[in-house]
Amino acid sequence: MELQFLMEGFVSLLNPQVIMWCLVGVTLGTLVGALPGLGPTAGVALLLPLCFSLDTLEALVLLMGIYQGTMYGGRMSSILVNVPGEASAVVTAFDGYPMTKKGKAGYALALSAIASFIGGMIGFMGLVFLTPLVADWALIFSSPEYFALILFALLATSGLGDQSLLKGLIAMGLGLLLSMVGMDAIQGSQRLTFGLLGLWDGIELVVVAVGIFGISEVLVNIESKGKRSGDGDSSDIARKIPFKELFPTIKQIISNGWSIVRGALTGFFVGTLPGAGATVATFLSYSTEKKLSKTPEQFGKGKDQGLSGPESANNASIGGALIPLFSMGIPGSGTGAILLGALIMLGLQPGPLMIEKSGDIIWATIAGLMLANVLLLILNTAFVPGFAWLIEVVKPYLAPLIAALCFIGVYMINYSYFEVGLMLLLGVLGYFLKKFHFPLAPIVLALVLGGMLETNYRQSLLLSHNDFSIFFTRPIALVFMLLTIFVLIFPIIKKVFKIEKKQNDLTY
Amino acid sequence: MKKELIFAMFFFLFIFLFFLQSMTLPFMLPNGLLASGFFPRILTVLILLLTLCYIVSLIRKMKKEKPVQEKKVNPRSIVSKQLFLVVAMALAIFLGEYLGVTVTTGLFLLVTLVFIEKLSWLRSAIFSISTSVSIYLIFEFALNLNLPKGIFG
Repeated sequence: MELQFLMEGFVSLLNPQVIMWCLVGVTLGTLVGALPGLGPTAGVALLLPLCFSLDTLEALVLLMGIYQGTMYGGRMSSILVNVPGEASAVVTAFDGYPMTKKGKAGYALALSAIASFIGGMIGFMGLVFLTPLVADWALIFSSPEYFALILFALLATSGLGDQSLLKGLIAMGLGLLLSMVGMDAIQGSQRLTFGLLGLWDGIELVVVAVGIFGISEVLVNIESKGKRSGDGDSSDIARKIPFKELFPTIKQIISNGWSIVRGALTGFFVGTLPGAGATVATFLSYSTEKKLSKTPEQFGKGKDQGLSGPESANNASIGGALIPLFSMGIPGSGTGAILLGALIMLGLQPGPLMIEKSGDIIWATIAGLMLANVLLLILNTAFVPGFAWLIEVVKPYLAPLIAALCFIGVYMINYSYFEVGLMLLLGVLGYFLKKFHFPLAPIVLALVLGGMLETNYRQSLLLSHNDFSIFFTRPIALVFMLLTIFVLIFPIIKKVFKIEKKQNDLTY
Repeated sequence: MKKELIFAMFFFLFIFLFFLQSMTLPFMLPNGLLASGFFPRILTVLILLLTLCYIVSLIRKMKKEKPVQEKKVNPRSIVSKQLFLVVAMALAIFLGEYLGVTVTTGLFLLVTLVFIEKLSWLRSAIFSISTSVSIYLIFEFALNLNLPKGIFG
């Protein structure tokens, strides 16, 4: 049945304009993702305003292209200049950059593209077959279950991804607070608007996302550039990519086969967990490959499997991360939260009924994900040297260019300069949060889920006549509440048993 | 560490403003159900408590650790560049009403490239003009969106 829907989805894509937007998404996503500091979340947030003038299918296919592109783009700066664009690209640098130093940059980029493609395809298959199952299961969810699930997703994202639970919780709290600005969904009264008319409708997701990811990145970029020039560091100098041995041979791909498959399965299943996502998946895949290898001492020195496994895990996590988003309307990461916001802005109603009500669009979007994966492989093997050259050309103009794109992107949402000002303020706040190592993804995630969290909490208490035990007497809600408690006490358990993994395990 | 402490205190004040706002909202409805102020008040109190813990942990760290001489790389020039960007953007917001988005973007790019990136006027002008023209063409023709033109409209 799923295959039939998928085929119908592919038929919807047979339109030159849709394919063109997918290509635009993949290209822009790759370029933005390749810019140091701009990961998938920031990349999708920055390019999101492009979608508003398109029809729903074109916009969603564009977003899938951007998502896939940014996920791969981050690899380029890791492999070429040892500057990971975002957390999940850190592992790529472990063996990717040593390959570049050995003069095998082209080979590393091509291997990364092929592993990402295979990982992406396996993640895609999982998405196709598991989404309807999860959506059916989610139909039995009511307000208490949703509240418990959202609470778990929020806390897992705040606590698992970063070193400091305290900072993660503060970031999440800030996101929740921003989500409460504007009209109260149940009573219909205004709150936390400080008397400003511009805040009556609440704060747009794009304003927050572009501010805290885009503008803050511009300020960080200026700072790091200043520091580098002060140090006399010129590590960003373009390195020539030799065309010789650009593509891995079939034999080399086969020798990486199991690593790629293992990475894909790890990435897919870890990707489905809220808060875990691509970063955890890549680290897990790297340590697995190192443990299974007969030559673990070669890891960190340009070992193929140290690159192919994590790369596959990274792109397979996309399929996994989209399952809770498409089936329940619950994103598990910052990028997922922005995609959820986009779905809402495009007039869809994320939740278990979305597949039923807007199945044609969703299946076409899923098909678009596969199309994006194929286009990504073609683009990133054929135009790798071109992309690398373009990134070097754009670098001197980067900070002002991103700032200008943020300005236009936010202005074009509602033609409002008030929102541009708000974005600027949030950008400055985001800069300081980033500078002091606060995770930013929980802010966006909490902003998107805040309204749902509060509404479901209040509806649950309406159902139970203010009896708080409703969250602990229903089996599914109880499971998520227990998981939430576990996430909260996990850092304490880790400290007590001293099982904190030393980063040295993964040094290279 | 000192800078982080100052930021933490500002953040505390920022959230405290939200707390004061939440105090103006009803906490419970007469029928005993939760009102619009319930969540904001609980949440602001929680964030304030967490921020206090953060401040205390910073102070404890400061007492434990010996002051490390941070390598200063002309921080004034970095801060002034960052401030320049923020002010330039604030000015762009103001000018946008009058000059329209395309021209404002071009001017913003020009001054930031010259004064922040220290590129030559000619190189900056070529990049600014070509970017503005590209933006105009993309929005007007590819996306069919009208960009406000201000006095040029």
